[in-house]
Amino acid sequence: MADESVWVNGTATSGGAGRSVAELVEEVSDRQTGIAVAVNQSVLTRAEWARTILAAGDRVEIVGAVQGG
Amino acid sequence: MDDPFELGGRTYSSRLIMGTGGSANLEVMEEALVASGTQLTTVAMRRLGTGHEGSVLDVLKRHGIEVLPNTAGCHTAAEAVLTARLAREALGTDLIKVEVVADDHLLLPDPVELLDAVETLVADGFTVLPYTNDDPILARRLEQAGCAAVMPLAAPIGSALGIRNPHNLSLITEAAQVPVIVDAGIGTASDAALAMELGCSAVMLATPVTRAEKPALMAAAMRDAVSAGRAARLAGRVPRRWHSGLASSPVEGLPTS
Repeated sequence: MADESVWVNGTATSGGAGRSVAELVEEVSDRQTGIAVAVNQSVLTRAEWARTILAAGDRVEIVGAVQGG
Repeated sequence: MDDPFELGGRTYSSRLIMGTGGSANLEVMEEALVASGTQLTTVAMRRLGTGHEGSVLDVLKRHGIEVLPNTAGCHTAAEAVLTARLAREALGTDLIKVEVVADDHLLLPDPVELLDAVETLVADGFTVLPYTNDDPILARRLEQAGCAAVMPLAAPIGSALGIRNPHNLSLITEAAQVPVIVDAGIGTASDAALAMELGCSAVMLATPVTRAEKPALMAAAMRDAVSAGRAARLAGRVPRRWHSGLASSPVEGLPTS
């Protein structure tokens, strides 16, 4: 299954390929504001979440603000 | 006295920028932020699922404090650029405090990677605030690259050692045409006052407040120290005289003469 995996925040996740970024974000986070997504080092706008379909091997970063600095 | 702090096209009445890192919990952080009077506060960007995200933004929103994302934890220009772009998308701000540290031991800025990141981010339309060494020449280069301010360290991050090289800091403030914000290494209120007396436009700190025994009390002390230091700078201090010939009382009319 490794070939079908999508990397989400550094972890190989099965079942990610073929789904949209919007679906993935909904699953990973109960918050939809204050977060951003990059796929393969490229940052997506929020409008691009629904129409970006993930492929096997994609590297997805989903980040939010934390205390720091 | 009307003395606004102008930064990247924005105007603030407070000259203290507080970080949110190091607080024991959100309640302590909130109390300290309010006591500090800060209007601009840093946050870091991290992967979701680490259990820390989210609620810090609610606190800032509640008090109308503007968010200043940083690129803390980045070691290369590429990492910092990606983090900055994520922050802009997540938080809807073009402000970015660029940190590119050389290692996790000293947390000192890597000047080569920093300048590289800054050039990319300025071209990308960010309002760039770089955390830098207290090197006057690097500060000049960062200003020339289009930074909205320069943020030289007083001492390494979290060290609380105070201003290790006031001469360098003075050289930077004398030459800079953009605001100089001392960042990192402040230990106590007198350090913050000294930074302002040396001509800095603002002070950025977190550790000395968030890890103090009484964070809110230290936050208020920092607020007052920044105000006092700024006033002293504007007031124009008297020159130092090693052998003072300037008595402060009249020399004539002594009853014993």
